Amino acid sequence: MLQIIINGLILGSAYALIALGLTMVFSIMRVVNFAHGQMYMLGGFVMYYLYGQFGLPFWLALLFAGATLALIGVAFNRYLFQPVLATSKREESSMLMAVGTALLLENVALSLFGEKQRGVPTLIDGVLILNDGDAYLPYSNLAVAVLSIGFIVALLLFVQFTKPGRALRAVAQDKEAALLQGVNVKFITTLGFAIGAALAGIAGGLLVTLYGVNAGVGTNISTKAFIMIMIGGAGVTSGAIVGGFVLGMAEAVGYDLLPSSMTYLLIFVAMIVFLIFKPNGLFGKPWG
Amino acid sequence: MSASMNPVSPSVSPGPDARIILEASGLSKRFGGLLANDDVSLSLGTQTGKVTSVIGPNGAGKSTLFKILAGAMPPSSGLVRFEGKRLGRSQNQVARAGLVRTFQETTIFPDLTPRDHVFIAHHLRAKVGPLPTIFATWGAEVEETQFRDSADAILRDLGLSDYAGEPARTLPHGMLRVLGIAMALAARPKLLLLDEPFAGMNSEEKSWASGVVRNIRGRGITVMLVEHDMRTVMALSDRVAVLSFGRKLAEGRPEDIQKNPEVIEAYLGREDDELGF
Amino acid sequence: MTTSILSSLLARGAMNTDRRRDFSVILLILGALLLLPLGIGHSRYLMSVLMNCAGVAVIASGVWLTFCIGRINICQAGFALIGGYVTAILIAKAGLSFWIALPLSCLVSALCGALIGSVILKLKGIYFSMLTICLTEAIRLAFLNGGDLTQGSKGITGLPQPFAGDSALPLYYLGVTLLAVALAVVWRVHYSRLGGIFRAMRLNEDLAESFGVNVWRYRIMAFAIACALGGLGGSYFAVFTQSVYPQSFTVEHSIYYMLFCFLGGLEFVSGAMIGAFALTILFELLQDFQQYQSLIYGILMIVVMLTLPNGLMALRGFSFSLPFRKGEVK
Repeated sequence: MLQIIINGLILGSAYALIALGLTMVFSIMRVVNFAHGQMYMLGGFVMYYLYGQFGLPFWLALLFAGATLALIGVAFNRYLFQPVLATSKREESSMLMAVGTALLLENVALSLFGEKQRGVPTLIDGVLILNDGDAYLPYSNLAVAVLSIGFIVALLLFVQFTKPGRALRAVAQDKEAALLQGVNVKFITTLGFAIGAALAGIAGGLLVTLYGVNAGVGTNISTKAFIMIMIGGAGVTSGAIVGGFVLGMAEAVGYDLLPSSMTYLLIFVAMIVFLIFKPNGLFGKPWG
Repeated sequence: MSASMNPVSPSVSPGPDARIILEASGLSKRFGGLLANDDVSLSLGTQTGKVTSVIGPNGAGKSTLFKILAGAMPPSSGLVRFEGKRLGRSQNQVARAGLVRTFQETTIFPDLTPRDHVFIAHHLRAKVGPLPTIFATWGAEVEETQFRDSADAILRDLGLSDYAGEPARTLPHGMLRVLGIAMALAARPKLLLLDEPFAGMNSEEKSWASGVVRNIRGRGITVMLVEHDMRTVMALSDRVAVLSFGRKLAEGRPEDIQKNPEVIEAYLGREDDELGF
Repeated sequence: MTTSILSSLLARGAMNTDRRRDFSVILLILGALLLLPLGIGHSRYLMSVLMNCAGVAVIASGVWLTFCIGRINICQAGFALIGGYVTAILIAKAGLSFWIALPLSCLVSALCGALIGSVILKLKGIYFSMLTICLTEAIRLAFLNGGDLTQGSKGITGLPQPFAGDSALPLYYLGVTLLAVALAVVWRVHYSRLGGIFRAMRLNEDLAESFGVNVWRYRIMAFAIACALGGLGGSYFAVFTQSVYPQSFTVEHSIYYMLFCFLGGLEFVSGAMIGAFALTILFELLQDFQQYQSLIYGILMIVVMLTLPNGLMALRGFSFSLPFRKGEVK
């Protein structure tokens, strides 16, 4: 029981980080970044090469993972998403653009890195034993969870107390009003996308230390991110965080009780039933 | 007029077990602190083919009352009965029971032609289900042709034939209102609710639209309209009810309403109303 | 049905040059498909390419139909999988003939579509699309975990051919026939009064409801038909490839079907078919690039999104232009 809770919390914090990245992009640009999972995957690979292969310090490699994805995010935003957003009135257009970028990133990765699963050496050896052996908590898992929460808190503080952070919130609430208040909306949207992508990359970099990475993991992660967003509500930070922990706990419980692929089948069914009652998620605003 | 449009003689005398067409009892609607409708009761009686108008100055609560009567909004208290039965929950149920409404904002299908609009509006009369339609049975074909002909006839009657083939968004404002009425006619309702049918029209368009409403009444369809413009309405209605500040102020024949001192007072000082006395 | 299709061609109005063009394209391609075996019938390989195209076109036409009700459907692969598995199970486990399994697969897919649709169709836009992506995965997982019935990741293999003998021709003509049926159904749904209702629902739901259109019911109907087409194609592929696996139809396939519709054109019924044939044949011709197929599809998607002058709304005659009222809960 305790083990399940611990597993759930660890997973939840990492998932919340992933969901936050997706929700950031959505709240700023109304774009569902289908390629979020692929960005996570690339973050994992950056970590694999820099930390795993070239031996850079962990924190440096992690920052690089974030920065690389931030750059990709900026490029995608400028050259691919802004043109589509400017001409199309339907939200799905940008989502489909994201679908295209997802296919692009995944296949570039496949070509460059091949299909093999990659792993990195454990962050911290050793296991924390709780309650006389009721539960095991490997230090690396704990580290990942702590770092995830750290990044989440940092993001929340950034959005709450800094000038660009407040501008982000303003744009997310009402783009027109923000524009009138003198916010440089163009810069802020770029920033938003960059942060969202960076969070995906960082999440990937963190989780590769626990689960490894392969070029095909993108769709899986994107699907999970969608579930979190749909449960928690799109475009709201509380939604992302809650969605992340809900999914983390559901996975932990599910994997303990059921065969692994059955778990997700039940999660999907539960989600669909949930959406009957709350079509906009727990905290989401009605959005067509 | 084509054979498919048989004019029923107006004001058919009701049979012994005729039901009251529309009856509103004690309707109130509250929006937060605002009481938009206050204990409004209205009855259209059992005689079909009459025109009843609800008028009142701005803010009197006409729109709200209209929406409640059309089944688009539930009242805070009170009841609406259509032919003795409560209104259905969804708009398509209400329409299917025979109550068709038009819309205030010029709500149309922008890229479809008036002909398409009126054609589609025949939906209520369709007897052939979707599956036979897909398999294009003989019955489906016949019905489709019937509806097309009927649509063209309605357009001709209402004077929209010239515009029949253009996308609706290119139509002048006044025509769009009439298009709304054309669609409602296609549905062959028992009761037609018109939401400010003369809004935004110039006097020429207004007299034409009045003729359209008389045309409808001539087919035995009961009409109820909510309107701002008193002059046009007085000439057209069999019965008038006046709303002011959410309450029903008066109800009766047009000539009596025009002489009612309370009504005159309610409109005094309102520049945007044409008193028309 | 043929009389109605012909008579709808003769109907008056300017729009009908478009309709005539649509019909000509369909006639042309179907005609070519009927006659091609005369020239290339000996090549099993070419025949199988065309059979592949036909099957994919059937499935893609279901996606095309969902656009009629203003939804972007990314779960069609799931319903193709349902069709495929139903056929495989009925043939392999219940010993039924393919000719019974085929319509039953269609029916099951339609029923699943109606059931699932009744729940998910109240969502629109990106919520709907996200959900359909998850749905495709869910269906795949369902079949993966079907125990003995679906044989898990091994899939069901060794399905017998429905036609005796060695020739590919009967199966080929079956494919062409199914394609013709699919197109006929989509044609009628689109160009009949029913299509008018779908267009009306898409353009202004309130107005359509006001004269008695039960929007909810019609949406489910359209979705169920689309899923039936998916099941039809899936069933065909089951006997064509003589096998079905959980990964026979994935999210990627769903995306491809969508891409075919965009490329072929959403205005015309022939669009799904054109896109499916064009891209599938293209990739067969460029054998060397097959490994990059996925990558190229990705780039194509990006390019398509960038070059459509008004995004998806540039597509004339389809009028996605619902006045977008913010905050409206529907």
